[in-house]
Parts: sequence; C-alpha cells; structure tokens
Amino acid sequence: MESMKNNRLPENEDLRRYFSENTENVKFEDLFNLKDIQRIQDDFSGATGVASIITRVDGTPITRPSNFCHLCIDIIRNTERGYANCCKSDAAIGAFRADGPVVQTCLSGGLWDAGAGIAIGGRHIANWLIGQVRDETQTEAKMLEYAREIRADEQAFLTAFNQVPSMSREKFEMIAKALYTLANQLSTIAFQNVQMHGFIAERKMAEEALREANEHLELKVEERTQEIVALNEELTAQNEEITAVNEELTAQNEEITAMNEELATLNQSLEGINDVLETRVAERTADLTATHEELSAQFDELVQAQKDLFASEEMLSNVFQASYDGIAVVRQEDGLFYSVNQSYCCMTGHEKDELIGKTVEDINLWVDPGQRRKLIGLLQEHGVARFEIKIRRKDKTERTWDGSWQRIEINGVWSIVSIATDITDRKLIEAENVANIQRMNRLERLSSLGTLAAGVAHEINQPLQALKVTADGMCYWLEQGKCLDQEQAKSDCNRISRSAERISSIVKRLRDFVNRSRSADMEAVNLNEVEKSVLDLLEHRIKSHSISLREELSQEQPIVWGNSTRLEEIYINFLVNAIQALDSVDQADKEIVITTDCKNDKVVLEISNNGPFIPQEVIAKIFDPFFSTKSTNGENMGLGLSIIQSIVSEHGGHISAVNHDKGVSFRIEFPKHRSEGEKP
Amino acid sequence: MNILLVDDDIDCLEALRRLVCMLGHSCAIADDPRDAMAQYAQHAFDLVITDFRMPAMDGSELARKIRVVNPEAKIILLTGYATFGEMPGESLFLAVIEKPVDVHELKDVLDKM
Repeated sequence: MESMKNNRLPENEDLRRYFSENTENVKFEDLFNLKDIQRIQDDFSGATGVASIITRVDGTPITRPSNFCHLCIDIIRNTERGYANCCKSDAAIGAFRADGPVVQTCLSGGLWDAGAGIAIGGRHIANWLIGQVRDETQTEAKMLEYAREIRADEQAFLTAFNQVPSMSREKFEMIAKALYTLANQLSTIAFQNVQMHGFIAERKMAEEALREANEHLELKVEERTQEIVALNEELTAQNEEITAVNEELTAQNEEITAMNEELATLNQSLEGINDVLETRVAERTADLTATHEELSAQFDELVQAQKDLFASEEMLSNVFQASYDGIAVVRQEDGLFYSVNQSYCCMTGHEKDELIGKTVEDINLWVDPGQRRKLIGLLQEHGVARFEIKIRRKDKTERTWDGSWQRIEINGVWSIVSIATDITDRKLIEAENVANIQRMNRLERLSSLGTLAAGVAHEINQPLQALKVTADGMCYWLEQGKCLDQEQAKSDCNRISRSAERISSIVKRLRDFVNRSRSADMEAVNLNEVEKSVLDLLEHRIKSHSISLREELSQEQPIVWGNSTRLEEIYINFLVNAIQALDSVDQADKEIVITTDCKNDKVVLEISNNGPFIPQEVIAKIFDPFFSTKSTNGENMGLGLSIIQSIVSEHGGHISAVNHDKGVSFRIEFPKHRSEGEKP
Repeated sequence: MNILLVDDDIDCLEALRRLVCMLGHSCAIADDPRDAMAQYAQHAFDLVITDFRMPAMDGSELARKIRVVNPEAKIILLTGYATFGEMPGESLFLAVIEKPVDVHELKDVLDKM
C-alpha cells in the first residue's frame, strides 16, 4: 500500500510537476498494450467466473467485455436506458478509491458489481469492472420490475436472470479484493510506463533540443565561419588596400624626397649661377678696366714705340758702324757692295768710297775665288754659313778672316750679309801657344824626372852610405894590417849585402816606372792601387821628413779610365810638393792626408797637407807653367802643378786648389769609369 | 874622443859606429833625435855627428837644441842633400860631410878636432 502511495505521489518535485504538466493527455491505451490487457482481463474472468471490462472514467469501454452474461450484454445493454444506466453504474463503481475496491449492486440490472480505479500520478484514467453475479439479494420480482423499466422482454429477461452465475458475497468480495490488487498493480505499471514515457518523451525532447541546439550551433558555426571567411576576405582586401596605399605613400615620399633634392640642387645651382654671375660681372668689370688700362698703355707704348723706332734705327746704325766686326752687305750674284761699316774698311784697307758700287772681284778681295763659290753654294743650301777665309788687303797682304754669312732678300734681290773678324794675329798666337805647350810638355817631363830623381837620390843615398862606410871601414882596418873579427866581418858583409839589396830594389822600381812611362795606354785604373805603388817609392821619404801620412780611401773602388804611370806622376808631384811645403815650416804635427771618394759619376782624389796657406793671388796662377814660389834650382822648375793639370786634362778631369782651416787641399775630379771595357 | 852618432837609418848608424870605433873613438848611438837629446843631457860628448833628414826633428833642429844645452858643442852634419845646392844653417855645424862618407875625409875631420 505504501509503495502505491509513493507511486501515486512521487516525492520528486520535478517529477510531480512533470506529471501535473504531462499526464493531462495521457490515455490508458497509450500506457498499455490493449491486446495484453485484454488477455489478462479474459484470463481473470475465466478464472473467477465473473464478467469483466475496463472502461474510461466516463464509463465508455476500453476493452471488449469478458464473460459477460447474456442478460447484461444482450438484453439490458441492448436497451437505451439499460445501456445508459450501465455506463453510470460502471462510472460509479470504478470511482477511484485508495482504501479498497468498490463493491455494490449495479445501478442498472442490480447484479453485484465491483470496481477498482486505475490512476496515474494521482489522475484517474480508467476503471476495471467485474460483476454480473447474483446471490439471494436479487429477486425475480425486482428483475421483472427493471425489465419493464427499461422496456425489455420480461420473459427473456427472467430467463437470462436465471442463467446469471451466482456466488456468495464473501467469495465475490475476495475476487473484488484481488481485482483491486491487480488494478493497483496496473496503476504502478502505468505509473512506471508514464514515467518511462515521460523519460522517453523528455529524452526525446532533450534529444530534440540537443539536435536543435546542435543544428543551431552548426548553423551558427556555419554562419560564423562564413562571417569569418567574409571578414577575412574583407580584411585581406583591406590589407591589400593598405599595402597599396602604403606603396603609394612610399612612392609619393620618394618623389617628395627626390623633389626636395632637386630643389636643393636647383637652389645650389641658383646660388652657383648667382656667384658665377657676380664673379663674371666682377671679372667683366675688371676686364674692361684692364682693357681700358691696356689700351691706354698700348697707346702710350705706341707713342713710345714710335719714339723708340727712331731711336733704334739710329742705334742700329750706330751699332753697325761701331761694331768691331767688319760688316758688309753685298749682292749674292757678283759681290757688289751695298753697304760696309768702318771695321770692314779697316780690315780690307779700302776707303768706304772705294768699296760701294764695286764688286769683290773689282777689289780682288778673295785670295781663292773658289772659296766664294763654295760659300754661295752653302748659303743656297742652308741660308747661313761660317768658316775661315783668306782675303787680300788693298796693300796686297793676305789675312785670315773668321766670317759668318747670311743670305737675305733685299727688294727682291738675293744678297749676302757678311760679318767677319780678322783672326790672323790670333792664329799666330795660337800657333805659338801650341809650340809653347809642346815645349812645356817636354819641360814637364824633365821636371817630373827631376822631382823623381831628387827623391830617388835620397832613397839610394841612405843604403849607399851604409854600404860605403862599412866597406871603407873594413878596408881601412885591413890597410892598418889588422885582422877582422870573424863575427864582426860577417855582420859588416851582411849590412853591405842588405844595403846593396835596398839600392837594387829602388833601381828596379825606377826602371819599372820608366818602362811604364813609355806606355801611354789607357786602361781601367784603380786610384787606390796607384797610390800604393807611389807610396812604395815615397813613404820612407815622407816619414823621414817627420810627416805622418793618413789615408782615407773610398770603400767603393775608385776606378778611372787612364794611364797608371801618368796618374802616379800626379801623386808623386803632389806628395813631393807637400813634403817641401811642410819642410818649410817648423811645426810638430806635420801631416799629409790622401782621400779618395766616389760621388755619383765622379772619382775624387784629394791630397791635403797642414802646411802654410797659399796666398789667394798665388792660387790664381798656381797651375800656370813656370809659376813657382820656390827657388829655381834643379828640384823645382815650376812645372809640377802645370804637369799635373795637363795630365788631369788628358784624363778628362778637373783640378782645383783650396785653402782650408788646417792647410791646403788639392782636389782632382775624374770621371768615374763605370764598367770594364766601357770608355768614358 | 867620446862621440854621439845620430841617424834614423839603423844600417847607416851601425856602419858609422863601426868606422868611428876603427878610427879609435868611443861611440854612443841614437836612432831618434829625441833619444840623442836625452843622452847628450846625461853624458858629456866631445862631438855629435848627425844625419840631416830624420823624423820628429831634422839635424838643424837637433843642433839648435844641443846648443841650447851647450853653446860650445861640436856638431858635424852628414847629408845626402848637398848634391842639389846650399845646406840649411851651416853655421850650426863644424863641418858638413856629404853622404856617402869617405873614410879618409872623415878621418881628416876628426883628426883636426
């Protein structure tokens, strides 16, 4: 009973609400399979022997009647009143009750009926009815009365009544109780069905809602996607638009920058042009000023030039007349004199009047007329000529002229301008000079030999002295009749031999020198070696004169193209001169310095001594022949330095003498000999 | 006599010493005029025979210096120079003998002393 109550009134609030909302339209047929219900009903009737039917609340049948008795189904319900009463009765009997079945007599036929309501969620939906049984309560009389009431055949009615099964009231009530249990069970099932149905419906609704929500969502998603796609496209489009705008802006920016630069350039150009214009205006102004000044100056110059021209013509005329050279202008063809100056007259011995209008042939000028023809040939070829000619003066004496000639055209006639100097006297002097030089060279040789001989004599005298004194001593001793100590004699003889050897050595060197003198062959000569050779002869002498010798020789070999013997003579002369100069003074630190140096293309030899200075007027003449500050004895013939100069000249060199703070230096520069076999 | 011989040429000096000794004189020698001066200051020499051309100082200079020490000093000059003319400062010397010296000439000069 409790569970029924629970079933009927679900505690779950939601469910209760559900039922109140949803059982409205629920029908019995919806909750049960009618075929199953029919079979249960039929079986129940069969087992119990009672009639049975399930009706709606209003009494209309849901199921087919089971085991209905002939009286009810064929007689009473076949009548209008009977049927209506049956329905009323069924409804009444089926009234829903919680405490048990309704058992009462039928409101129609009066037979025993019972009913149990079937409710769901507190709502009454059907009635299960049983009955149509009789006991001693029903009488034939009451039956007949009701038959008449419903206008049924009384006899049939009564017959049918007798056929109605009868049972005790107790038994019927037990059956009714079973019915109640069954009806309640059906209610529970119905409730569960409804619940199930509700769940299913709810589920269906939920599913539907879910489906709808899903669809909605899909739609939304689709919509949203499309929206997004659209938005994306829009954004892309916008982006492209922005990019395009950006590019356009960049381009515009560049354009503006370019324009800006152009403007700046233009501005600069304008400034430049402005400057240039200003400069030009200034220049133009300056030019005009300068031009004006120039023109003024030119005008002045022209005025001056005109004056100068007159002056210069006069001056030229004066120069022409005053020239020391003889000048003549003659016709080329025949030597007709146009013009002559005073010198020319003097040089020819003719007066001016005797020349003008005459030809060279008229005055018999040329000693060799062939020379004039040669001259004209040269002039026709070259325009100018210069050479020596022989001429004949008025007094028939012959002279030598050094002439220069130029061919010019005067008024369309070829003429010759002749400028000449009489060199007859100069040539004589030159010839004399040549003879003098030849003589001087001979003297130089003698002097050189003399200088050398003086040196050699001293060199020889020393060993000769030792030799002679030793030998004399030995002879003297022997003449005295005395015996020579053997050791002493041996020592003396050794000294004699050694001295003789020294003399022999000097003689040999002298002979070498003479032999070499004979050869004038030029070759590559190392000055340092020349010096070494000379010092073999003179070093002893230098030392014996209390003179120290210092050599500062070039690291690079001082090679010159020359004759070694002639070069030795230079050294000998310089050294002998230096020794003599130093002998003339009383000083402690006498010194001769020999220096060789290679500078660029020159080899420089310098021989210095710290003896007395050479007076300036002497230096000027020191290389002249026969000039000497020394007494003219055999040792000094005044030719030393002039010999040196001629030798130096032979070797293409240059010599100079200078005083310096310590004494005197002679400096000779030779051209450097560059390589073997290459002549300077 | 006690004689000082001066010559820078050792051979000449030795030869002369031999000869002078043979002539019966005692000799001292100096191959450097400065050494000669030093010896002259220490010993009283009767005579000095000197060469002319020598390093450091020549015969004339030596003679002058000796005369500073002893104005009465007797000095003879030997020289190869005379061949070519006059000799410098002859008054300094008792005699000038040309090289090469002849033994008899030298003996005469010494004997006259």
